[in-house]
Amino acid sequence: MQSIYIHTPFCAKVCHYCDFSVLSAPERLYEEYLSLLKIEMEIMLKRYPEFAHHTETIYWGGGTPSILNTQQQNKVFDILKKQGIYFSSLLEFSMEVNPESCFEDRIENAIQHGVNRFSLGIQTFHDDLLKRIGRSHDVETAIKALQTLLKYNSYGISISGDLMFNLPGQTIETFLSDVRFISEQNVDHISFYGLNIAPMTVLGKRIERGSDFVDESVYEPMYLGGVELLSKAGFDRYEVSNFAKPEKQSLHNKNYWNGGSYLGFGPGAHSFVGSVRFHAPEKFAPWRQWVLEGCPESSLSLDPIGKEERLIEKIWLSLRTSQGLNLKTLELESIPIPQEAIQHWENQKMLVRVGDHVHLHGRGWVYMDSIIQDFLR
Amino acid sequence: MSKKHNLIRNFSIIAHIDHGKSTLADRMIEMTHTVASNEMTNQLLDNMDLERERGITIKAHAIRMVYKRPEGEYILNMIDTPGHVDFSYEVSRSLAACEGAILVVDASQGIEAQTLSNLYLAIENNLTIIPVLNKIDLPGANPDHIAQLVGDLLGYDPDQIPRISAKSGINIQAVLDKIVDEIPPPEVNNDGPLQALIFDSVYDSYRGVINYIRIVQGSLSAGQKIKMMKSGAEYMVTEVGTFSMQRDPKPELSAGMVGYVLANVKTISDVKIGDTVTLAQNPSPTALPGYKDILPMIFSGIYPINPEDYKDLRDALEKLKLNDSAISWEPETSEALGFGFRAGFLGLLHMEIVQERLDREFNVDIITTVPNVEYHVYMNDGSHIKIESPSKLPDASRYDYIEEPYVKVQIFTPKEFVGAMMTLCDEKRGEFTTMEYIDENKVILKYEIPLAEIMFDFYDRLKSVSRGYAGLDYEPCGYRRNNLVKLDILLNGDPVDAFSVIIHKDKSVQYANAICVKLKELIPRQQFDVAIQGAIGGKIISRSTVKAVRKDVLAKCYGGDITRKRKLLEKQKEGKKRMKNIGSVEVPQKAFLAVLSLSDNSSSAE
Repeated sequence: MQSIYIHTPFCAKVCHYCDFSVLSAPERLYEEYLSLLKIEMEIMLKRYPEFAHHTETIYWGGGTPSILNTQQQNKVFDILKKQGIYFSSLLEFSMEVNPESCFEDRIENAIQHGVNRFSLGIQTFHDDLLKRIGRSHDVETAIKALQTLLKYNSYGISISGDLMFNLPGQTIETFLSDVRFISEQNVDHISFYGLNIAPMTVLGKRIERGSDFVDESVYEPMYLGGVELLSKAGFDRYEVSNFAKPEKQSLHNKNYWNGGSYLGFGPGAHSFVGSVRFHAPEKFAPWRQWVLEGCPESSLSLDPIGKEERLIEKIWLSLRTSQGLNLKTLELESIPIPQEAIQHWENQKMLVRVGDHVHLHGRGWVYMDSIIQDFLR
Repeated sequence: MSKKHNLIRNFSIIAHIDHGKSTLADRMIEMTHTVASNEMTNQLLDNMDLERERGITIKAHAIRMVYKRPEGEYILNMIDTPGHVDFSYEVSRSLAACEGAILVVDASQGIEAQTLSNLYLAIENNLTIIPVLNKIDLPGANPDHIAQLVGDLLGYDPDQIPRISAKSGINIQAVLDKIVDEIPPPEVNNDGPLQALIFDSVYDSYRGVINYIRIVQGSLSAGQKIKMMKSGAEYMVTEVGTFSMQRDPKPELSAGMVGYVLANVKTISDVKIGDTVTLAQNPSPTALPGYKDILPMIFSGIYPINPEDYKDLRDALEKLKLNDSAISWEPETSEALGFGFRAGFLGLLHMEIVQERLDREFNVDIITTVPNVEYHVYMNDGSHIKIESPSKLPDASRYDYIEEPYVKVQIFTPKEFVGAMMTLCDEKRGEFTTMEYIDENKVILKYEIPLAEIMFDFYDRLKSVSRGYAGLDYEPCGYRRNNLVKLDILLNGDPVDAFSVIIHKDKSVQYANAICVKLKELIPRQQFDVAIQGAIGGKIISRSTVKAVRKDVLAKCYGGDITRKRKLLEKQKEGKKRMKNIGSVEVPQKAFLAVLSLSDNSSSAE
């Protein structure tokens, strides 16, 4: 499958935990960004025409794509259309939305141009926690945004509610109440992520100084508790952090995990074409320069994916999903099946083997990376 | 009929570590145009990567130089030797192939520990000794004073001692001339049956064993059939030659010459350094004296990380033995580590070198266990046994007492550090013997210290408390009874034999605390708590805990994360290769040598 990713790097305010390619910038930069994006897409789609003809999913993420107003949105839609990407032929077109910029006109406009899935960054329904992680919205705004999106439910629009857990100050019960609440709304997709502390972020530095604290020991009960609640509510875990009602899994994300191709646009967006993964400069100014120079291939950061890399990614990304890893994959590459490791994790009830497949089980999802390591030896 | 081979000189360079042997060797190679100047790299002869990195000579190296004088062209066979105390066996082997030795002395440091020990070795071998003062251009140099001291020591006219700077190339010719004028040419007998001493050998995967030989009697050329006198093995010679920087094939090697012989020898055990090579058709009735066997001083387990590498490890050890005859080993089994070997070494540096060479040259991932000395255990029934491994120590109820080896230690130090040295020796259970002045500033302190105590950080501590000025030399001086106990280290309640040590009771608690703290640092967090305990005879004397990791998961993974995370996984995978599962606990390779990096001022464990 082939997918397109569009990165809009702007945020009203950068969250305390964020180490992504984002910036809080004056609005005049938005216009410049859009004209650069146009140039980049024209050049890159000419270079890789197969993406103009056969793209099946688009994901518009950020940053905050909803920070752009309808006119600005339309510029993006126009470029896509001019490049021959017809929304009627797309299987999925997702857009990330932040509560504070989830305006009805923007949502409606996006839907009119083919967006059929929204992912709302709620993170938590507790104001004290939102403040502590530096989000720019409050609970009231989040609920309002959710209601706005839910209006379009009956039009076949999918909605994902995104939460976070293992936040500083968050108790098991506050998180589980968030999960319960979101699962009772009419959303058809939910994701929740354990907070990852990146050292160079505001929060990372605060924790290093000792002025904030994350209790790792609540990770497991939060995660397993959340999974159980969602399972009862009819949401199926299809990847470690993603849960969906039947038929509502994100096709775009599955393409990443299945090793499919994708072409990314915007600062720092990654692409995977043929056997090379690459990305453009991450910071805005170098990205601007790169685009103005005609997107030279020589300035891209390349990661050639050879046989070994492909296999490592296959093993690891498969084990992240509920479907798990088909051991036949190893056999085909004449890699010995790590019987001892499988037995070890089976004994601990963290891994299950059914026929040719192994998949994570129970607490295994919390120690996923350790288990994956044993398959890579 | 014996005659002199007038144009050949065979000599070694001996010195204390860092006094400039290898640099002098380089200058002489340069002056004799043995190597084109564009091929010169510093310390040409140190051709192991390890030697260049560490700046020390480990192996003796041989090279043939041609030095022209009006009366003729002299062939100078030079053997560069190591300076570290661990490697004096290399020195003594090289000396047996020579008639003379250049004794290099640093003009500011003066006489040091290895200056003397190497000098005594040279005297034992009846060599002509030429003293040389090096580094005369350094600001702290005091050549007149040092010349007087060296002259007194050797009975050599101080005014006749060449004063040189190998680094700046000052006065090198004087050294070459002295070699020609003072070192006697080898006594040769070209007519008798062949006697050639193997003084070193290396393994080449294409050509088999390359033997470095000194022809004492007779001559040798390609096509002849040779016999190794010890093993009796016979081989057809394919090539003989001498050394410049590479092997330099020659039609014949005759008496007095130093060179190599190739005979397609693939069975490593057929070759023993110190053996005599003779001709199969006309064998010599007697072998050359050879070398005395060197006794290992310390012992350690060597285990493959992956059990299937056992055979590779064995092969690697055999090849290593070819040019490192000091290493010895026998098979050993460890409950924790499986099948491996108990190897004996001359010292800690020797052990480290072997370990690194196995890793680099032979590419085998190994775990070495805490080194120890050989103990004598006196049993209740009056018998006694020798043990090279703490795990072999019988139950405490079965033996009466244990003896440990002592060494006579000579510490050379400027007098202002005498107090600090004495404190160090006391801490190491040393017993003071005497103190002598070498000159108004320099002192030799003599102590008797348990070998086990000087094995680990003694040398480093000695260097650090004396700001690098003190030096050390030692020799075994028998066994003594002491209050020794076996300390076990337990991981989650199970003793790990590879961590056990035999230690003096008074030091056991401090050691146990330090090792528990160190292992806590080195053992990564796992899915469960790991309790680390130190125990003597089942009694816990120290403990620490590696807290369980509560999660190990990257929650978010989309397009761009894949490359970043895969690289992280690849890195972790490399780290895992060096992990060993002990029961259910994963222990990194370096934890088994944790004891070597213990600081003495360790706090309590928990």
